[in-house]
Amino acid sequence: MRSEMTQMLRLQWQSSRWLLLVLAVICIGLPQASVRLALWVGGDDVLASGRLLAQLGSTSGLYPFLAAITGALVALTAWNWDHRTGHVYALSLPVSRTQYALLKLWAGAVVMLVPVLAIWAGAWIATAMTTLPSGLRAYPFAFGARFLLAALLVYATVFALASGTIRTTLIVTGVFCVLFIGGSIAVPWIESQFGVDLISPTQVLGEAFTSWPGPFRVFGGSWLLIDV
Amino acid sequence: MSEAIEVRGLSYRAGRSFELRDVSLTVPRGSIYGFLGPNGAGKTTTIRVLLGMTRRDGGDVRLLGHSIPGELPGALARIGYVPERPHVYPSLTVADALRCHAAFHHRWDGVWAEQLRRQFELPLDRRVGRLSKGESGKLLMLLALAQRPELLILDEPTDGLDPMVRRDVLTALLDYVSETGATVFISSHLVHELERMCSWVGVLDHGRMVAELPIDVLKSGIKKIRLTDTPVNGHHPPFEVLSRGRDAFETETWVVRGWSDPMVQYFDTAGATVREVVDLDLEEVFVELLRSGREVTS
Amino acid sequence: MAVVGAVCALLCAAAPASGQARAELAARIDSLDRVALSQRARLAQLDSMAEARRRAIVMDTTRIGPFLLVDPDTADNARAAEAIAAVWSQYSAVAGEGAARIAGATVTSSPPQSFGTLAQAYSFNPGIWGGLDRERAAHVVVRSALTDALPSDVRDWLLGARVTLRPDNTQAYRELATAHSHSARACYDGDTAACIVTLGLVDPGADWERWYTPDELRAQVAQRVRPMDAAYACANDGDHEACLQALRALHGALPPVGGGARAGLLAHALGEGGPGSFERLFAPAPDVGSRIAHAAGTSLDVVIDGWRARLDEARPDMRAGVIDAGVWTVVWLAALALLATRSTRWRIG
Repeated sequence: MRSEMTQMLRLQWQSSRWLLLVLAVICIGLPQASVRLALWVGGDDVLASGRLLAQLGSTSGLYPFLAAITGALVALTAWNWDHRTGHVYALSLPVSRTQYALLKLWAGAVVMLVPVLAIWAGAWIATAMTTLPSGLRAYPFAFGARFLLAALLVYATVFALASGTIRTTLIVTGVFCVLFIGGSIAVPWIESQFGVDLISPTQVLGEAFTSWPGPFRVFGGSWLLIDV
Repeated sequence: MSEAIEVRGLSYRAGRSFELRDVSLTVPRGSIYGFLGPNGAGKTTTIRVLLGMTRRDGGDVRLLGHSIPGELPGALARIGYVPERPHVYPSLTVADALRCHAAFHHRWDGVWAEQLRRQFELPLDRRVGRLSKGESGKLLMLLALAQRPELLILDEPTDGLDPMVRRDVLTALLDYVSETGATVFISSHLVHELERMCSWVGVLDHGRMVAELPIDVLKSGIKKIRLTDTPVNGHHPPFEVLSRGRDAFETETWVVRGWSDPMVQYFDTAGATVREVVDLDLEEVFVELLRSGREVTS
Repeated sequence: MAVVGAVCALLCAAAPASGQARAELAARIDSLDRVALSQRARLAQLDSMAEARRRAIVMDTTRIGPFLLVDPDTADNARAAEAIAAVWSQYSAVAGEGAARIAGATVTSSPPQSFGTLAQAYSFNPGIWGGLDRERAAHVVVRSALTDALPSDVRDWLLGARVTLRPDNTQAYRELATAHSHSARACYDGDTAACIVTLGLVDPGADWERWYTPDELRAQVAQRVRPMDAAYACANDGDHEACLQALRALHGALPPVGGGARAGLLAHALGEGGPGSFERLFAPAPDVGSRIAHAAGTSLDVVIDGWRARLDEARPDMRAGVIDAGVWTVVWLAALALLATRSTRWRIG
């Protein structure tokens, strides 16, 4: 088993190393840029704390987006080679199918530590070398942990979708699109035309996914690297 | 000991136009079984179903005694597979491909793999996607052989290869088989190539098995007979008439199956004169079998 | 009358007619004028609202709690009625008899021009997204009505914030933790008396010298006040009197924490006071702090301590949130892994 795990990790690394490099650069740089910008905007006067927090708040939305992109892209690279070769090599290997899928899942999760460690490092570097205004503290580890959890969840979701046949993926994606479009456009139109109250699928799905125990609750909450 | 491959009543349907219907075949251990059929007959599909890559609709499959798909990993550990098209990830180098294959196949013989690599002159640092067709064919055969399988399932392994490469690949295969007694199940439409190495032949056409028997029985039992003064209706001949055609000068040519020499007497009784009994090569046999099979179907 | 009295008081004072004193006097009169003007504007607005209410009574209306919903038979207004009724049920217990003070407040979801010259009191405007925003729009209506009905000193003390039962204590915590004010820092550290000063509960007017040290005051003015003579002297020359003068020239004060935190304190007091607490705000009281304490039914110190405890509970805790998320992440990862292995492609064998 150890040789299979090592080999799968090696395959995953080879298929995604350039992507990981780009993501790592962004993950190291983004906290630096946002903290330096916030410190510059905040200034060093009495209102520095408030302005710094406001500025950080305005850029904090980039991090969950970056976590989602990281997870999604790593998941797609996990299956990319197999999709291109029709999965024949994978299906000809003497491992059970469940084992193979889990090996891939494991390998992708491990390589995703590269951008996660990068954002940890970036956050730590950005905050360790600056003097924060009074009342504020930095939370690089909690911040990095939230990033890790968010990226893992998106990774696992996209991995599960990509592991299926194209038909399955299209069906699932199609259902979500219909529900989203229906909830966003059709439901308000029907309500206004016919004076009825309908349950909005967009609203139901949104609340189910983004509040506990939904899978994407971790995307809510505070993404501030610096806070009180 | 069970046979290498046992298939009973295999059925599979894809879309409206293609199906495998009631395919049954048996590959004895230690044999080299040639799986013949024209393009589109269903050879590759049959192999994919055997290896559990495609879900079948009915029938039983056993490989080396393992029931498929229930014991698939155990079976695949003892089987070397060469697909019709390269299946190794094209972005890997040859070295990476060997390392990857070795990691999953615990019977991998690294020493012999390196020996074969040198023999095939495969560069370690070349990406698989950049190998020539011949090099790619050699790599696939190397990967299949170096894992020391008991059964080799080869799907048109020499298709598109030049004669030199084809010879190298088949030589390595036959050397391995003669050394280990492994079973080979090889599909091809290059009949003349299989004729020289196969001990068994199965013929597939339009998703149905047309014939399956030892090659010498197949060849010896099918003859081309030239006749004159042929009877209008042959009553109860002791052989199967596959085809019958009239040449110039009132000479007929019959292709018959199940022939043996004493059967000349049948024509004597009918008043016909046997001019010649001709042996057919495997390709001619193959064509006649297909032709007669299609006439029966239509 | 207030203006006249102030002017007389000033004139009767034996102040030397120096240039500086004139300027100071002019500034003080100017600020008093502004107060008077704003009071007159407020009275005119209330008259207009009362007129709107009188007119609304002759239109087709339906009562939702204390509110009058104009033209209730349209589909939009029917949904508005439902939303407002649901939100009012949350506030009605606290409002108690105080609901009478907003009785007759008109609400409509139609645009104002459809009612000609009728100045509607409150507009129910949920936007295009339906359900979620109807609840939010109803909160706006109810909270606005309650805020408008507050005693004027409490309303002014809120600095534009509205009455709420769901204050953003996390944001209030942030403000308190980062305010550049020695009284705010003392409040943050648990000094109840400092909290009373910081929140302007006893002297809701400008209390800058108790909020800020001279240095802090100078820094506030330097950052917030537009360049003018007094501000320039304050910021560049360190003239403390000039700082005070510049701040008096402003409409509002520069409190260490804003209206949101004050609305949170009021919400806490109304919650502690239970049914009828809103009405108790209107009992005669010398200052806002006394009103709030009376509404809560306990001493101001107890109210403040309770409010501080609420802020501490609402302190943003990055680590706790991550631990919770971690547990559920493991659960979801397992579920998604199972889903990945159940693909039809992988279910052969």
